[in-house]
Amino acid sequence: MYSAAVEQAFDHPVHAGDLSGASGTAGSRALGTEVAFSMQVAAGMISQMTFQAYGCPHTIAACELAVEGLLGKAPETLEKWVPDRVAQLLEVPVEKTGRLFFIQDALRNCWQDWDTNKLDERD
Amino acid sequence: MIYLDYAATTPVDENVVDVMCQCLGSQELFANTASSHAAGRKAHKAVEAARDRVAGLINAAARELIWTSGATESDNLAIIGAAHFRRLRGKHLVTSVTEHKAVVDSFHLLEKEGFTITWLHPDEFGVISLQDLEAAITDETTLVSIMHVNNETGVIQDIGAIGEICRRRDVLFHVDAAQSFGRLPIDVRRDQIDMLSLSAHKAYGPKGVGVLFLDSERIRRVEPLLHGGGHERGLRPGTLATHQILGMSRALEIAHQNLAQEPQHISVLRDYLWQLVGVIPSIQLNGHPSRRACHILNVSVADVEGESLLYGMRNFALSSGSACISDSAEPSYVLKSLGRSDQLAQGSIRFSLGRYTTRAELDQAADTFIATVTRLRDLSPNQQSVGSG
Repeated sequence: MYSAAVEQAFDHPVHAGDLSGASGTAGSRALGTEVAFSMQVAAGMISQMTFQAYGCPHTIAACELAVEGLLGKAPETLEKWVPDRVAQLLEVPVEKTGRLFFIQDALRNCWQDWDTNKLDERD
Repeated sequence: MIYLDYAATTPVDENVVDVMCQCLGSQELFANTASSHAAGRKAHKAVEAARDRVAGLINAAARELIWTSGATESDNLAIIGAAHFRRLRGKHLVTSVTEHKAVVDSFHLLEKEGFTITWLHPDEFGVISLQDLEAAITDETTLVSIMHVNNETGVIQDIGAIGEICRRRDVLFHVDAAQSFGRLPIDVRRDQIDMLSLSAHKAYGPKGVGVLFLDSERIRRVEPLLHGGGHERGLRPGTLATHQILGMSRALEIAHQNLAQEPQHISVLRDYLWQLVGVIPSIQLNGHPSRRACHILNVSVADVEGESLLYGMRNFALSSGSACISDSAEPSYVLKSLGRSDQLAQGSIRFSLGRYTTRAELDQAADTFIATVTRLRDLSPNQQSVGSG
């Protein structure tokens, strides 16, 4: 039911937490999934990024892998992020892939927050 | 793996295994009980002796017991069979929203067939009001079905009082006692029960066998669900599974013998576990604080997602509600009927204890449970719900 990659990321998430900086959230407890990302940008790159998640093990693991893949990338990458690769790596069952859209939405909201409010951090 | 899912099923007692094995292989007990040859007669005699023993455990007569494949079939046969057989007397039936799926879905089927069902709602502790029940009975009512012990919360219904009401109003009373046998005394005469469903595998017996009790004075017949032979008075055709039946008989005898000590011992362990995990902030006990069977502790924790909670506890065999519905992402309908929100119902865990549970196992379970809840809460976003997009 859960892959070894899910087990590892669920048990030992190294990017869990909250940062001051740009942030984005999506979902709700009522929907069963709520995720939040926060990031700091330095020299045009995502220098620090964390997540918080209320959701199933796949959601928590996917947040961890998403952050892992985004660190060191340009903030604009958040806007283009799609869950396919993470879903594949974690072997997320088809019926649960919809939950990963909350991660996509939260990352877009995070990018939008940075783009709107953190212009002085660019370059 | 530490097993804390005894309400889902129990391991087969070693003594029961021995009895069952004696019915397999080349010994004569393997024969078809319906056969007239000597081996068949021997198997028949063994099955009838088992019937007699099981009947005695619930103060019934042997002729009042029908062997089935388990409590689910017993529930179906009792409810659908009795409703069909008595449809000319009336088409109104009464049950509660917290019954096991085997009961709930039987009533749903009858509803589709044109029967009218009154679904009783319990109070916040899971207890069905006797006043509500009596008020629900009309001249058209032919059957009331209320479970003895709820499979998710362990809440005990007052079946003696319900039996008295049903008998006074001349309505059949069916009880699903799958969770209560071996944990509470059952006396079908004292409690005025007309039909009673039992299962072997909830009481350290094998899966695939159960019993339906039909009071010989009150309900001589139900409409059979299966057809194709005259076994079990024509009410449940099919070759009898001698090894299953003798296994069930032995398991229930052992459970009955242990009735004076085992439930008391298990309830002490259950209360010990609640002492350990009850310190978690915003944890709620599901069900009545005292009117619960000895083996079940069901709790809800706020701000923790149920699937992750269960996954964090994956070294323990547990249920996030009824095992029969735990594949579903839907929150438990039983917990929702107690007023729990979807989130709290999903963030629930049923610990169910049994004969082999130890205090050391409960220490481990509580430590892991507290650590998992704490970690998942730390991981959750602090802000309140926001929309997607």
